[in-house]
Amino acid sequence: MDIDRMVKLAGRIAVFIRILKIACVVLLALCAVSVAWNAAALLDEGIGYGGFQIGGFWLIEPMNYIDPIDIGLSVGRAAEFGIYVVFGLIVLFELDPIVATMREGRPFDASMGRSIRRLAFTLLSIWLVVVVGFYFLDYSLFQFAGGYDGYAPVGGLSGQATSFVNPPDFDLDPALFGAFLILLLLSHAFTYGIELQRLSDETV
Amino acid sequence: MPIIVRLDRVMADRKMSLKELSERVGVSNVNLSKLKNGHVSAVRLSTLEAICAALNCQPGDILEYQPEDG
Repeated sequence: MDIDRMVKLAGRIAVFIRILKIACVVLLALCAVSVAWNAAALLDEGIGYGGFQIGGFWLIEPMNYIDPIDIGLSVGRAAEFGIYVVFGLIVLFELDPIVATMREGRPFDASMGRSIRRLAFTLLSIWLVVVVGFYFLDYSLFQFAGGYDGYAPVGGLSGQATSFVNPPDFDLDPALFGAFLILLLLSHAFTYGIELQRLSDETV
Repeated sequence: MPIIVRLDRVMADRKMSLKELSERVGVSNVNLSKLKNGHVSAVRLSTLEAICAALNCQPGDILEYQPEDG
């Protein structure tokens, strides 16, 4: 691939990233509305009149009676989905300097190795939060949803048997961890490439 | 680096400017200036050949080895 094609491709990717960022912001706004809507319904006197879900269940449901457990879960699910969207945004922002360097036609710029390594460790952090954090968050959600308004507490953290919801599966998400490893290797390859580029620049 | 570039000396002997040499060799003024001031880490044999042809000299006239003290 020649430099011009790489620059052109990087330009297209930059546009795609910009579109994804806008989509993420819209999704984030939907999540916030969903959380606020359902939380308000949950706190309302007429408990159970909600219906705006994202990230798992309904998106917009008529304002008929809905089980408060579902509303509680939907609040948590929307919040969880919102956090995923934030993670997506972080990754997109981390991609920005990499794509910008590619657009300049100098992939082996000194900053490239650092940028790729930072992206790799961002993915590792996200992986840790997703694998460990969300697992316990899911447990807490079940407990919260089940413990509301006279329902018996359920879920792992409550220490009681789950009767009507299954505990969340512990998902190791190997793809995300694999991406971290690949990027870490790539960052080292780029560090070597940067050194070769420097030698090439200093050769007449 | 113990390799000293004596390009300026040979150029002065031949009364050739950097601009003229860069045109004859086909290497940019900036890169030749870097070479003249010893700010490069490598020289291609093709560049060395072109410089020798333009200045009518031997590679040894341009490059000199000076062992570092200590």
